Amino acid sequence: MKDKFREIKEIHKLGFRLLKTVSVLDRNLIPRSFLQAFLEAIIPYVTIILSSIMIDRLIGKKIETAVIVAISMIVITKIGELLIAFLAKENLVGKNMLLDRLQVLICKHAMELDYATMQNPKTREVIENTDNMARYNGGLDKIVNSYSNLIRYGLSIIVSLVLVVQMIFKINDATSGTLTILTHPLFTFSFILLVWIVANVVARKKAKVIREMNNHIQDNHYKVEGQIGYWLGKVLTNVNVGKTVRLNQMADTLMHHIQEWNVKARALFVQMGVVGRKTLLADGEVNGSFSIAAYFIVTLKVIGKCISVGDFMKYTGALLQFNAATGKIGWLENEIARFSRNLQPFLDFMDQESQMHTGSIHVEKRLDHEYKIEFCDVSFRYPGATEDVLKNVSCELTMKQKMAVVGLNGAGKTTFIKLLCRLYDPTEGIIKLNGVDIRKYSYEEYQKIFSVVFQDFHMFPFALGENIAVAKEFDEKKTKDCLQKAGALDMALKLKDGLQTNVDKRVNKGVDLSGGQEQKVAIARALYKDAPFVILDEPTAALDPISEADIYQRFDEMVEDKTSVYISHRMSSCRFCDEIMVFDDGKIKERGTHEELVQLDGLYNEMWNAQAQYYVKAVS
Amino acid sequence: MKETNYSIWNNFLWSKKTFDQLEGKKYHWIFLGWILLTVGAPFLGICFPAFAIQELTSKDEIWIMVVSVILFALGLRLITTLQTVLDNEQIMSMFMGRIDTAKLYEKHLLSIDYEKYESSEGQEKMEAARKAVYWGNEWGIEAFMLQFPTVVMNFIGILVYSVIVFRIHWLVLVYMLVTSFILAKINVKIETYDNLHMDDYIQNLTKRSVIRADVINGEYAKDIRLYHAKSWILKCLEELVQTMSKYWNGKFLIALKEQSLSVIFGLIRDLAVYILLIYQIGKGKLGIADLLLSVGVIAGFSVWMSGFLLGIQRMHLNNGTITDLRNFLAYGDVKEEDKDKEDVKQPGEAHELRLENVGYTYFGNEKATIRNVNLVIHPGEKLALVGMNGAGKSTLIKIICGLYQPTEGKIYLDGQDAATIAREAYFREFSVVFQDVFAFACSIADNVSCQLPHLANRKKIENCIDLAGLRSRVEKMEQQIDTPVTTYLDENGVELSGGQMQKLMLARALYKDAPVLVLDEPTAALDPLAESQMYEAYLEFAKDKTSIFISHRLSSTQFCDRICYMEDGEICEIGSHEELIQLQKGYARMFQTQAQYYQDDWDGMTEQEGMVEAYEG
Repeated sequence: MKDKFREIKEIHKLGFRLLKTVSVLDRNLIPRSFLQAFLEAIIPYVTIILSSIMIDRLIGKKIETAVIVAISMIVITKIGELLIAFLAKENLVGKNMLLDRLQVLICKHAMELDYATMQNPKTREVIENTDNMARYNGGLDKIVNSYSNLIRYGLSIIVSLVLVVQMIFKINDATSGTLTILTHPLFTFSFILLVWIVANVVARKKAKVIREMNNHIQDNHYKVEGQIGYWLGKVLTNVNVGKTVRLNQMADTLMHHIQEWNVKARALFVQMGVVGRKTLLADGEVNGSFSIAAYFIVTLKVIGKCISVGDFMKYTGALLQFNAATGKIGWLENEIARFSRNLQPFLDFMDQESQMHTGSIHVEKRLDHEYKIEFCDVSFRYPGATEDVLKNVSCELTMKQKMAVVGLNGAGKTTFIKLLCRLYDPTEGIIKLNGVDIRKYSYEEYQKIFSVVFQDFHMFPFALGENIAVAKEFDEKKTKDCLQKAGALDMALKLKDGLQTNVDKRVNKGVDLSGGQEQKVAIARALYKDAPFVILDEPTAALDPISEADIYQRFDEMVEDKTSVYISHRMSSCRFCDEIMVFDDGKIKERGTHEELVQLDGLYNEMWNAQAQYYVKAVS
Repeated sequence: MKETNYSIWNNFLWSKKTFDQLEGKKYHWIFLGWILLTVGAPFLGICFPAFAIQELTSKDEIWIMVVSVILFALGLRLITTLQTVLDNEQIMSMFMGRIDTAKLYEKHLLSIDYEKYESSEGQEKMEAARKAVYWGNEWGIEAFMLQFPTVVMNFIGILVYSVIVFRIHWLVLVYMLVTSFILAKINVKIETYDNLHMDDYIQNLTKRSVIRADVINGEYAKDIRLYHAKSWILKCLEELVQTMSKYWNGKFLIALKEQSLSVIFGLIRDLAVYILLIYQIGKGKLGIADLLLSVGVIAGFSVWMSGFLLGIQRMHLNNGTITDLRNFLAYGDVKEEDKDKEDVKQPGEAHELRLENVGYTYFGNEKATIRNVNLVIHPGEKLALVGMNGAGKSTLIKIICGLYQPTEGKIYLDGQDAATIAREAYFREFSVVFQDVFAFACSIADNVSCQLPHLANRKKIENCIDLAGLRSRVEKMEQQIDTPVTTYLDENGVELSGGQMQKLMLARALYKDAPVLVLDEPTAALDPLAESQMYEAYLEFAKDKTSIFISHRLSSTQFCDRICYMEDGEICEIGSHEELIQLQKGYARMFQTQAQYYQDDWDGMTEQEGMVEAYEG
């Protein structure tokens, strides 16, 4: 019993936290919903009570009073209905927006968390699940509904109980014989109690089976939908995949795979139907048998003249409402429990705080771009990995020089950049900016000194200009300037809405840029930021030789008197850099100018020749 | 493709036939039972209080009173329960019908003519048809079919209740018909509002999901942080939420109007009816039971009316989705188009491909993307296709491998007109590795074989993985070649890097081992050493095949027997590497641009600048 009590307390603790989240998202929703629930609980009793009075007056031939009662009943209920309609409208808008507002909250938090935390697939899974769960099992609005219903049914129980008790004690001294016993308060009371208990025991048993099935369905429903969503969204409607499907005659094979998932989904849907049927039948049985008993006991009271004929509807109504409400409350408890538990990971996510330590030193703004970066014995291991990706790397980026970084796939080049930009902190060793550990600088200010184009850079689904300025408002002249420098201005001006064109086809009738165009836009974005460090990671992978040469040529202009790093698999890029670092297996294996490294007969030489041989041979 | 507009009745017959085939005919009986019970149960419900009061005020014996009240209650309960159960059955059977109909849609997506599938017209049709099967319970074939029993049931309800209402007073019937129509008019507005704004709303919803997906994407997290994109994205999101709440507000405002008006109409109606009837009771013309019955019937009548009108409205709305689905299923039906076409005459042998005056213009474009291409690719020849981005290389490839039908000219496979060959047979002759790599959420083995596991040759799969240089990666996986790829459907799945994906695509092409090999930029993500290994693997594999390479790394194209240099949709130069270099035109310039960096005597930017300008000018 004590455990049960503690469990309930735990559930509501979670429930209240979720309610609090709701009130952060929409302040008025909860009070309004509760008020609506209150009205919805009370109004039916107005009808029940007043119509029974009316019937009594009619039986007593008091027509005038009957009319007055009828008028007041109609007016009160209609006013109530009107109020409910007004509240319901506001509440529906609020509830429908909850998920979207919640997404804003989640997105905000996701962007505030540090990079390493967001790399954890678990974090992403929690966010995905919160969304899916909301779609298929109901979102935060469900918590509001559950608590509103708790109020509604609680209130309903109280009012109906008052009526039922009133009825139990109504007796008629004039009756005689069996009817006296049958209408005696003690008999009425014990009869109702007995039937109620039996009905509830049966109901609970049935409810348990149904609940288990229901839980199973809810746990799996959003997963199944996710799987169907995968095939439909990522495969069937993906035009690029369509090529492979047709050329490899995969239609039947894929249909077979999809069918496997369809069968699972179908089984689940069939089960949904079964649960629906079982619920309705159980409801019919339990409420049915209780209602028969209710009619029986109230009929006796009417016949015994303990209550009037008009009271018949009032008291049967009260009894039925009482039974229904007590039954519903049991369900609600389960609902709140399940729901709160489902959302526990979401609450945990919201509780997470950034792990990245942010220092307090300001990064000095230097117009002369004299920033010196130094890696001191830096090692790095990804969380959960068993091997270091970078091993005791020590180096210094020569100020205002162009540095090329090359190496085989997986040698640690990109990780090196991530540490440099402080997306991760080193596992061992320190990185210094102008002689000071970078962790001591303000995190935000430190990242302001880097303009980076990552290999997997991304354009967000907004206007082109916004994407370059990374802000809602952008300086048109500066934006065009940067596009010009990146060699993408002509392309941008040809777009149907120019800089206002959305760069995601899926959104606002936007357009998808080609890989090459996107790369140039990403470079323009880096230029717009105008930071003292420029880092380009494989910026020409998607480009034809001419565009590539074009970028090479602009690179000089772009970086001017800044310090820059250029990562590429195209060895040609090493030719215009001042210095080259060759990464191999997490270490800087070779470093020097092109001429020096080619002489070395090491990895650089091997990579260089792998590509150069054909060109050299062909020309000579 | 002509758009056919089907009538509601025609679509009903089609949907019925489809459901009969997929689900059997059980649902017909469910419909029938549901109609009877759904009219009957509420009527009995209304009768009950009237009956009980009548019985309790009668002069019957006590036990008769008790027993008849209880029996009536019991009967009512049984029927009501049965009605709710049938209601559930009906909804579920229509839901299942929709889910199963979706299979037709899925199947068609996999086989529809590629050109049409890819076209904007096709994409629009695809989206429109999706509404019929994948838009939830409120839409499409499920909602459409549910309206038929609903309309019939409500119509019967209206007929039955009209008689009773008329007996109260003819004016009441007129009043109720008029007010119901007014309310229905407003109700229609809700649906019309949805029809008008739903697409915008879905657009915003998509935008919201796209933003959300971007924000939580691990790769994009770098850009968000380094460019401090937070406040920008949040501002956009909040704007979006504002717009979206306007949609709901507009929708529920109409609903509120309808409800308030309905309450006011109800107020007038109830006041009139109650006062009228109570005075009639006072005069002794009516019993109390009559009052209760009449009040119930009047309330019920308005439910039938709105149910009926709403049903008709929904029928109309969803009729369009069925039409869209049927039109889509008939669009680009390859099986239908190809049924009289031939097989490839010499399947599996190194083919000769001849292109005669081939041109291609994308649907809706004025300018041709490919113009006047004449080319013979000899059996076993290796051909390179080079040119700048946008020169038309990928389009030409799609034409050659049969995904597009040329809008001008003809293609011959060993002298056989490609237009007369069934597409499936034609496709079988090609192994193609596209630029955009893609792995299905199936096992490594399935991804290589592109077949069902029991049909595939495991030994050959292993072999191809070996040849593609993917062995060492696969060996590190727990389930070897049975390891699932991606985590979409299996949380133990592996994610492959760009380079590994390209190797997987190579293994796929090796497994298919078709006589024509086409490679579109297969090495972009590889480091120099892996790149050169991959070239070797391809060369070895392409030995006695007809093959076409596209690559921006011109070093790779020198292995080819001939090189086609494309510019602006045309083949401008064709010949061996040496010949084209000697020609000193486009190809030579392009090659030199790339090669210069690798020359020992490279002397900085000057030369190269001139090179780029030559192109731009």
